Amino acid sequence: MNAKVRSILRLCLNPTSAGKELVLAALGCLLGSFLLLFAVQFYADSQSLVSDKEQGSSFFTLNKKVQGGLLLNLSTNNKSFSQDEIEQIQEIEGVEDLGSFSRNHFPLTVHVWPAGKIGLGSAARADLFFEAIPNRFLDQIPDGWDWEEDDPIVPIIVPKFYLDLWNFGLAPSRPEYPALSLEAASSMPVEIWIGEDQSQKMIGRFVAFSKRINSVLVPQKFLEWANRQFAGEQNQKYFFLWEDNEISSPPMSFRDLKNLQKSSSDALVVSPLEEPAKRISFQSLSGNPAMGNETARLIVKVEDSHAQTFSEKIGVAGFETNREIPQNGWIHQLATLLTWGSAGLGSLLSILSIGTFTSSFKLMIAQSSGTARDLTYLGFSEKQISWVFFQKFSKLFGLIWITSLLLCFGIKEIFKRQVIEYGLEINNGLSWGTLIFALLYAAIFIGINNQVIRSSVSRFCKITKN
Amino acid sequence: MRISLDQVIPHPLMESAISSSEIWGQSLTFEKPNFIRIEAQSGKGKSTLLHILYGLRFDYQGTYEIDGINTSIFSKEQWRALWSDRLSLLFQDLRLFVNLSARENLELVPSTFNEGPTMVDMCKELAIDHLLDCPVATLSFGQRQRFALVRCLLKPFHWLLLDEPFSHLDETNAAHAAHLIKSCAQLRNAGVLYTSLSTSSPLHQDHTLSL
Repeated sequence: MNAKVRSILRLCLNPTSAGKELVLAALGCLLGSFLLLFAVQFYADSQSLVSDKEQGSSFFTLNKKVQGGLLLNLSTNNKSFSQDEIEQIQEIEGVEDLGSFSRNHFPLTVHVWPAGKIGLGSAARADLFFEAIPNRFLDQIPDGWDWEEDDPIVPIIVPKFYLDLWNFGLAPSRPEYPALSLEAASSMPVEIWIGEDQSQKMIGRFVAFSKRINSVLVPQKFLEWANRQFAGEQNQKYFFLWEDNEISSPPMSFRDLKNLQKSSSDALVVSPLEEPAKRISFQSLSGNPAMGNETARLIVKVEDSHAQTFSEKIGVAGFETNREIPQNGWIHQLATLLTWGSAGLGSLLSILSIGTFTSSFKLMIAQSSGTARDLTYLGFSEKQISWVFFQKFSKLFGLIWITSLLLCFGIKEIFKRQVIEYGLEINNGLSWGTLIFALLYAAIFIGINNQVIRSSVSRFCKITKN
Repeated sequence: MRISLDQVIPHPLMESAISSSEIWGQSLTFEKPNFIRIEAQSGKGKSTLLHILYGLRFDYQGTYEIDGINTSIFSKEQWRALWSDRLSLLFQDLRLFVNLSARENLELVPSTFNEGPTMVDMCKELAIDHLLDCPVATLSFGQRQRFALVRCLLKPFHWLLLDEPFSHLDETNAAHAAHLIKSCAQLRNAGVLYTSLSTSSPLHQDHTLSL
């Protein structure tokens, strides 16, 4: 059959009625398709935010209580967890994973330029700290988080509430500091000055704003490298210096003692701040590589069902806990609600639209049945006649299908912008799962309607035999 | 292609109509390229006969065979193949598509016989070529009858079945139509079986049978 005959065949079988039914079916199908695709896309996005392994878990940060006066707290040793204590925590029922916070062992000052470095912009300066945790404890791993030694930019994750404090606390009181959106804060120049004399300068960038981890985080690899580079000596440790069997001065830092040792011919005797009576030679401390690698904070992943008992046991053991905001919980609940809600409504509408579509096409074919029968008497096959109706359906469904995908993409982009406000990040574009589902959905929808069209044409063109 | 009827009697037909018939309840074989005229008054079953032969009606007793094969076992695909390439029927009610032009109606056939006169040649011979682009709805019944005849003659066929093909034609046009039918059938070496109310016809006949 040539194109001209096909074209006349379409013209011949072009029914003008059933338009209203078809418009209703198309709208129902559009809404149903969109909701189903949206459900799949939303599920994929929520899964990327909350990995399977983290669902149903709570995260606690643990540290020892800080008590006593200034003198006592100049030493940090008794605020660290011993290996026995860590093992004890690991054995508590419900603990799924445990990691330690590592921190910088060098002075650190950060300059941020909220209005940029050009023009009248001025810098905000703050002494700061960096911490690092294993990536598996991060609520999200943002783009650019990986860091290698040659990388010029240090990625930084800060708590979202830091930005809120800036926008609603500091910025309104300082005219030179503008309020910052997430995008503006992410592109803001950050200078990292290292050392007491700020001799080393590096450039950083805020790559994410976390609602879960209340700390200034940098990649572990960077922190290990920076500690090796800039904190070879345990400068922050304080000791009493002994002379003639008595403490001879106020507590001195490790660095000061080392300088003193260089200028002194005698071997220095010191005692740790927390154990003033325990005298040891300074020389024996200098060669101890373990010094300064204490674990002062832990992050613990606990099954939700054991979170309460874990919290109680930790309190009894004398540790302080800070349960991180259970972001996964609300994301998971919202995702479940939206996914199943959309999927349920979308399925219902899709089934109804399949019904309406098939009814409309049955009506259309019934109205053209006389013409279709005469065409078969001329020698046209049922397949050729069905094809005309199927083409009409395919064009309409194709339009609906593409519109649904575009709508889904548009809503996803809006959703993406919204979740950024919560310091979260989702992938660009539609997921593979959505696209595969869309293809399957189209195949099922087309398959059902094709079958209905063919059987309707066959019924109306039936040869009646007694 | 040989058509055989053996004791075929349509169910709705009156007993009185059957008793005097040379076709109903008889054993007959139609061989191509014969021209057979079926002559009968109204209500004797002329259209019924053609519809049975074309495979549109099955409400009869007896046996209808094509090339020795009982047609009652034919599938719809086999009938469709016959309608496409071996049988061509001019319906009494023509069955043109009124939402199309005359030309579109003539072009709307699944396969055409390309060795004979073209569509335009045939229309010229029947003096309707100037009406080709007119909507069928605006044509008279006589004009439509000629276009319907051209559509039948454009198809390939072994047997041409015509239900009162000259009923709405004047003598001149009937003569032109008869000439065209004869030449097209001869080109295909096909048989023609046509019905007529009157005892005379402008078309040649090898046999005349009374229903």
